[in-house]
Amino acid sequence: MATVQLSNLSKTFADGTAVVRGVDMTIPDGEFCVLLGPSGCGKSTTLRMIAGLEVSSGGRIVIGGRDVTDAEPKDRDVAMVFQNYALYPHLTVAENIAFPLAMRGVDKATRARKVREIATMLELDELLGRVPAQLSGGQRQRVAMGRALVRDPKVFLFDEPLSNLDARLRAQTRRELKALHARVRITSVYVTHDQEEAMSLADKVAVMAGGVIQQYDSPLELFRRPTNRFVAGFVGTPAMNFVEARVEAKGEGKGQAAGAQMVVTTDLGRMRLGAGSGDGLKVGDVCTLGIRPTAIDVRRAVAGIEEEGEHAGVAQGVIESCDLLGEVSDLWIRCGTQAVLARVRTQDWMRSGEACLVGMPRAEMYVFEPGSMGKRLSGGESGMSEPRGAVAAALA
Amino acid sequence: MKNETAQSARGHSWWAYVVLLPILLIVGVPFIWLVCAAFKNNADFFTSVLLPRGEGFLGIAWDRITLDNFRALLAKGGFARATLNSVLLSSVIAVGATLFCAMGGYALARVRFAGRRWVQWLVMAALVIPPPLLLAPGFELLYHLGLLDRMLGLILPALAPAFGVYLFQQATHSSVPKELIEAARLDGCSELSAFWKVGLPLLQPMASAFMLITFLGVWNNFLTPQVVMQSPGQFPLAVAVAQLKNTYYQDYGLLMAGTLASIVPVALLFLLLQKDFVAGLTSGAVKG
Ligand SMILES: Nc1ncnc2c1ncn2[C@@H]1O[C@H](COP(=O)(O)OP(=O)(O)O)[C@@H](O)[C@H]1O
Ligand SMILES: [Mg+2]
Repeated sequence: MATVQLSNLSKTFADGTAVVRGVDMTIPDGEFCVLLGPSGCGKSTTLRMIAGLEVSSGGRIVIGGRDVTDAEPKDRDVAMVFQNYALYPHLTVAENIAFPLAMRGVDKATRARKVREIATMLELDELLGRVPAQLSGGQRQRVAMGRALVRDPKVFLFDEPLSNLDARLRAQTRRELKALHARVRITSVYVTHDQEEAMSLADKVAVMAGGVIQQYDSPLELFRRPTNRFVAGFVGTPAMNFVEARVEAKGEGKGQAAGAQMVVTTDLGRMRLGAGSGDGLKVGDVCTLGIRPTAIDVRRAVAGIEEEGEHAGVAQGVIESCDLLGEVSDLWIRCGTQAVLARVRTQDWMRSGEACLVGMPRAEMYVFEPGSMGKRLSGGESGMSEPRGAVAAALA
Repeated sequence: MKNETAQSARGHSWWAYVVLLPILLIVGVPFIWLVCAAFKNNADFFTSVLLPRGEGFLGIAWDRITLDNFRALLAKGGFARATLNSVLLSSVIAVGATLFCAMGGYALARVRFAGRRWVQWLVMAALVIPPPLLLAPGFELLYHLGLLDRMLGLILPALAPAFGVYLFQQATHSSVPKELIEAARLDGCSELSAFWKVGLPLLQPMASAFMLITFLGVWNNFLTPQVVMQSPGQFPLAVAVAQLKNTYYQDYGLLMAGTLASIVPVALLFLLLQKDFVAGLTSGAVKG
């Protein structure tokens, strides 16, 4: 049981590359925190610094009130599950699980009892006498979990522990892991590049890019109110659509048509955004608009969409490709120079080559500062908006 | 499909025999000659190639086969002492060198410590120096250390051969994954216990092979003990057997018996450890 505090933690390798830069975060006791980010962003390095396997170049690590920045791995009381499980190949399953206890001088009888407990919990009873080479991937994963669990560590560390499993087993193990955490409530730090895994497991997710934590929030908050364009693009499947825009007119809340306070031009045509959009932008400024594929309305060209009203803009497009997922379909729609992805309720007419209209609901629009890390200026304020598009389809 | 592979496997082993048989002959004939010679008297030694011809079974004069050479060997007091010396030297060096080389190679491969690069360079440099070149300076060094004519003078220099360190460094790279050592550290191991509990067990096939090679090497080493040792009581077998040669009169039977007696123990040892030995040589390939 312990709170993990990282303050201004950084790592520069001998070759001079700064891999982790000033990470500040507090993981409350018993919480499940996920470090999420693209490959090479410094997640593993951060985790390994918490474990003590990597010496930090700056900052402090405090676990359960004790500063462990300079402590040996064995003195930190943390357990880690490695990506490839790192089971001792010359020891049986029982010996693998008992190993941390043996190294801490726990007597043989207690060891045997604990191993039995863990084995029952993880359904490994039948396998105790085998060596790792005789186990399947899923079984190895469970043994690695058992070895981590057996000594009641203060903190669990996971480095992509599910990435070597096939899709079905991964989903199952994810559920088991979640249930396990709900039971033992040990503070956990979990590294993954898979945002679905992060969203489903985490109490809180820290999104990392370039060695910096971009946002540290609950999964829902991350999804609804991403702090910048990077987080918006990284969290949520399919990924958010972005289009560059230039401010054409900006109302001050007087004399303008209600609900159309900012007008921008984009490759998708002119858009009228809602009140309070694009805080701080002036006429002539550039920005990035974002909209999630699930929020987009797609109609057959002949049906028409009211330009005014709830939509910020309506673009004409042609379906480039249509991936049927069942109830819903993913449509890649070409609108002039811009390609837009929409996830919509499947309809018969949706085929590549069909002309269509793409409607972008005003309430669903995000506005970011320009650039790949541009700050979110507006969007997501209303909390969860009315279900629409594919979400509505799923609920119907 | 199954049939095909089985057939090709059989074809494969057939060719292996064709290649191996001549090699076996080349290696085996001198050995057979040696065994025969050890059981002949000096007159027969020169008159027959293998065993003396006569009226007995297979046309061999079995009655002229003799154990006299071995009796003479045992009668020479120094021989038992030399055997003991050899066993002692070979065992101590084999065990010691294996342990130290394993530790050194493992440390170079998996432990971060100050001066690692320098040690690495030193090992590589030592690797390219031919051992005979070190004989004279080694002698000088041992003289100054006062270790000439002492067992320690043979043991100490042989305890950490650069080749062994290098070998174990490679073996560690290929069969001791970094994550395993990290897992051990997290599981409560110190640097040393991580080596004992995880590193060494995984290096065990290589360690067995290396121990055997070292044992054989020391057992058969003639040059170094000849240089370092002076009193006959300190000689190992290889030297003692050579000393059986007399300046005025060569007892070839005795010489061959001595040679045979010095080969048999290591041959037995090899047969005993053969499995481990082969496993060690192929450990990189077997690892899944
Ligand atoms: N020992 C090292 N020396 C130099 N660079 C390293 C070392 N380990 C990792 N890196 C670099 O640090 C970056 C971050 O690595 P890592 O933390 O493993 O990323 P992630 O786990 O997020 O994929 C990568 O670009 C990687 O190449
Ligand atoms: Mg990683």
